[in-house]
Amino acid sequence: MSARTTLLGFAAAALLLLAPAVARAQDAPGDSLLNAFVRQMRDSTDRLYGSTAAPVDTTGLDSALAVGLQRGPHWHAGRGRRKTSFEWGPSLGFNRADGGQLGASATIGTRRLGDVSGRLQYTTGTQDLLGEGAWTGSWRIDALHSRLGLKLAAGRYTLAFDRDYYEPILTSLNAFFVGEDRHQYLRRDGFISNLHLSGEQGFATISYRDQLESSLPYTTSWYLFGHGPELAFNDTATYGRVSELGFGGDLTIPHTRFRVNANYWTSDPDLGSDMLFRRTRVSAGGDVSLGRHLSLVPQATYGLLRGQTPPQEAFYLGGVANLRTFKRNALAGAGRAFGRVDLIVVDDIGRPLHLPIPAQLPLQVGMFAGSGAVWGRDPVTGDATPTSRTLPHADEFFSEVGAGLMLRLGIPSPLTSFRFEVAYPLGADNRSTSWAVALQEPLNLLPPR
Amino acid sequence: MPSPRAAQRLPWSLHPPGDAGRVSPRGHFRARLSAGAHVLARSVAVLLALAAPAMAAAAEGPTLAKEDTMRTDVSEVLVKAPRVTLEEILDRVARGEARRDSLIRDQSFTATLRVMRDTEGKKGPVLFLESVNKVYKKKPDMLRTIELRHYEEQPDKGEKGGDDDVDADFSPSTGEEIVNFAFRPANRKNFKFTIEDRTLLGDHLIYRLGFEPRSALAVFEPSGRVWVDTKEFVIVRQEIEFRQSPVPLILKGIKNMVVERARAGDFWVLSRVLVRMELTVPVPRFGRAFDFALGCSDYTVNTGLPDSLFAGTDQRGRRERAGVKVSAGKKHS
Repeated sequence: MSARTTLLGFAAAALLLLAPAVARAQDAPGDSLLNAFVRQMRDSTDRLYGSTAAPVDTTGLDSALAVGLQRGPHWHAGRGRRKTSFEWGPSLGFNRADGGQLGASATIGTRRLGDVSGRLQYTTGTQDLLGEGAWTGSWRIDALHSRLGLKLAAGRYTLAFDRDYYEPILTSLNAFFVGEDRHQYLRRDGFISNLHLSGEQGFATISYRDQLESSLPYTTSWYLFGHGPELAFNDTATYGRVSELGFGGDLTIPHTRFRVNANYWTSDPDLGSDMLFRRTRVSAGGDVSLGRHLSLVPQATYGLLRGQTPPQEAFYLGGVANLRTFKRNALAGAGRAFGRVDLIVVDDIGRPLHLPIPAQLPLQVGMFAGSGAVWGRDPVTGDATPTSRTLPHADEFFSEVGAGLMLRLGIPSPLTSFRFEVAYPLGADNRSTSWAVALQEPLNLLPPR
Repeated sequence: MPSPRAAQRLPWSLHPPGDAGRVSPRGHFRARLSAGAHVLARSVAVLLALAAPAMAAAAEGPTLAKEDTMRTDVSEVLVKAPRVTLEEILDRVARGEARRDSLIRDQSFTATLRVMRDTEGKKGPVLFLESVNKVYKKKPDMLRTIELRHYEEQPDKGEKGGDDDVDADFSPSTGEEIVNFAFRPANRKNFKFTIEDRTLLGDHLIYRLGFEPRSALAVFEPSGRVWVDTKEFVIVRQEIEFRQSPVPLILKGIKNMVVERARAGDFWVLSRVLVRMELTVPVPRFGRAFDFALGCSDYTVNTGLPDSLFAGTDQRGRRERAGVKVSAGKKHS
C-alpha cells in the first residue's frame, strides 16, 4: 500500500470519526434523531462498499477550481468534449437477390449541425453498388417534454416486400448460413425523409419518400452450408416511381400498460406517384400481470390496402412474426388481421431445474395461442388483389396453439429473448406441427419505440 | 402491517427508535386516558399505599379485609382518526419532491465519479477510474461543469484527449430523478407500493415504502424501498434491487444499489449513488465484479450564482478541464 493511499485511508478514517461529532454539534435538537438514523444507515453502506464509498481526497481541488473559474466558460481544454466525432464500421448483408453485400459505413457527428452518415456496399450477385447518404439532426422541445428528430437520406436500397416485419441482420444470417430466407426483395432508388417527435408517452411521425421501385433478379444459389436456397426465385415487384406520404403514431393508453401503434401511407398520382394506394396498419398490445410470476401478453394487428395492390405493399402472414404453423410470408393479401396471446412464467426455470445453460441467462417458459387471416387474395396466384372488404370471413381464419422456452438475452432490448417454440395447428387444413426459433420480444407485433 | 390501535402506546411508555405510534393525518401522536381510568389508577395507587404496611404487617398477625363495596367502571374510549392512506403518502411525496425542486434556484456541488474493479478479487478492490468535477446549476437550464481531477488506472495508449472515458454527464435539472423516479406522476402507475414500516424520530415520522414493478413481465426493472421523511415528504434514502439483470448476456446481475441523500441547509440533496455489479465474463485487466459510485458533496444551494458564471456554455454544460489528469501514477496536464 503506498504512502499516499495510507494517508488517504487515515484521512478518510479521521473524517468518518469526526463527521458524527461535527454533525451533532450543528444539529437542531428536533433533527438530531433523524440525522442519527440516516447516519446509521449510511454507516452500514460504508461497511458494505468499503473503499468505494470513501470520501474523495480533496487535495488540490481548490486550486484546480480556481484555475478553472479563472479561465472562464469559453476556455476549453483538450480533453473536453469534442466538437465532432467520427465512427465507422463494416456494413455487411446477404440475400439471394444481391448475393453478398460487402461494404462499410461511417458517421461524422457534430454537436450543432447533426450527424452526416454514409454507407457504400458492393453486391456480389448483381455486381452493383448500394449506398446511402444521410443527414440526421435532433432538437429538444422543452414545451412538449419531447424531442424532434429529422432524417433526410438518398440512395439505393435493397429491401423486402414485407414492410411490416423485416429484420435485416437476422434474415441475412439465416440466408447466409442455412439458406432459409423466405423474403422477396426489390430495389428502391431515391429520396426518403422522416420527421419524428417522441416523448415519454409516445411518438408521432411524418414521412415522405420519392423512390423508383424495381425488381431484382435471383442471382445467388449458394449459402455457407449448402446449395439451393429454400426459395430458388425472387418475386417480381411492380415497377414504378412511388411518391408516398406517411403518418404514424404510437401512444401508451393512459393508466394501462397497453400501447397502440397506427400508420397510414398514401401514394397518389397527385403527388407524382405512378401508383395509387392507401395502406393502413393498426397494432395494439400490452401485458397484464397475473400475480408476481405470470404475465399475459395479448396483442393484435390489423392492416388494409386500398387501391392498387403491388406485392411490395401487400400484407403477409406466416412465420415467426405471426402465424408459426405457416412458412414465412406464405400468405399475402390486401387485408390482414392477426391476434395472439402469450402466457409467460417470468421466473427463471433454468437454475431450479439444473439445466446446462449459462446461469445468468434467465430461462422462461410460456404458451401461446394465435389466430389470423388474410383477405383480398387471388386464389390461383396467391397474390394480393384489390378488395372492398374491410374484415375477413370467419372461414378465412387460421389458428394455432403452442408452447416454448425463452432464453432472455436482454439485447437489443431487455425483453428480447431467443424463443424456441413448437406450434400446433387448430382446424382441418394441410398445416402441420412446426418448430420455430426466433429472436424477438413478447410484444413483437408493435414496432419498438 | 400493525393497526393504528394496536400500535397505540401510553404516554409514559418508552418508545424505542423505530417504534410506531398511532398516526393522525397530520402526523401527531396522542394517547389519551379517560377520566375513569385516572380514577382507577389513583384508586390502585391508594390501595397499594394502604396495602404496603399491611402486607409488611401481615406476618405479624392481623389480616387485611377485602373491600368489595367500592366499584369503578371504566368505559371504553374509541379513538377515531383517519389513517394516512398509501395513495395520500405517494401524492404527498410527489408534491414534496416537486416543492423541493421548485425551491431550488441554483446549486453547486463537487461530484466524484469512481469505478472500483475487482471488488471480489483476492487482492481487494482497485481504483480503476476517478473523476472529480465541480458542477454549477441554475434554473431554468444553466449548467457548468469544471473537471478538477481525472485518474485512470489504464489510460488508452496514445490518448491525446479523446472523450471515450467514462464521464458523468450532468443535467441542468435539480429534480434528482434517480431518487424519485418511482414517485413521479408519469411513472407511478408502473410500480406497486407498500408501507413496510414507520419510525418516529423526535418530530419526524419516517415511512419506509417498498416498491416493485407492477408488471410481472418487467422482472428486470428496479424494485426496492425508500425512506420518506413525512415532515417535508422528501425521500432521504433508497435501496434498489433487481430480480433479474436487465442485460443478462453481459451483466450477470446488479447485486446492490443505494441512493442516499444528505441535508444541505434546508434541503435534502443527492449525496451518493453506489452500485455493485457483476459481469457475466471477466474482462482482462478489469475483472468481473465492480463498483460504481457517484458522490456529491460541498453543496451550496440558492447562493445566487451569477449568470456570468454560465455565459458561453450550452445547455448540456460544457465540460472544462482545469485539474490534472493522473494516469497510473503519472500526471498529465
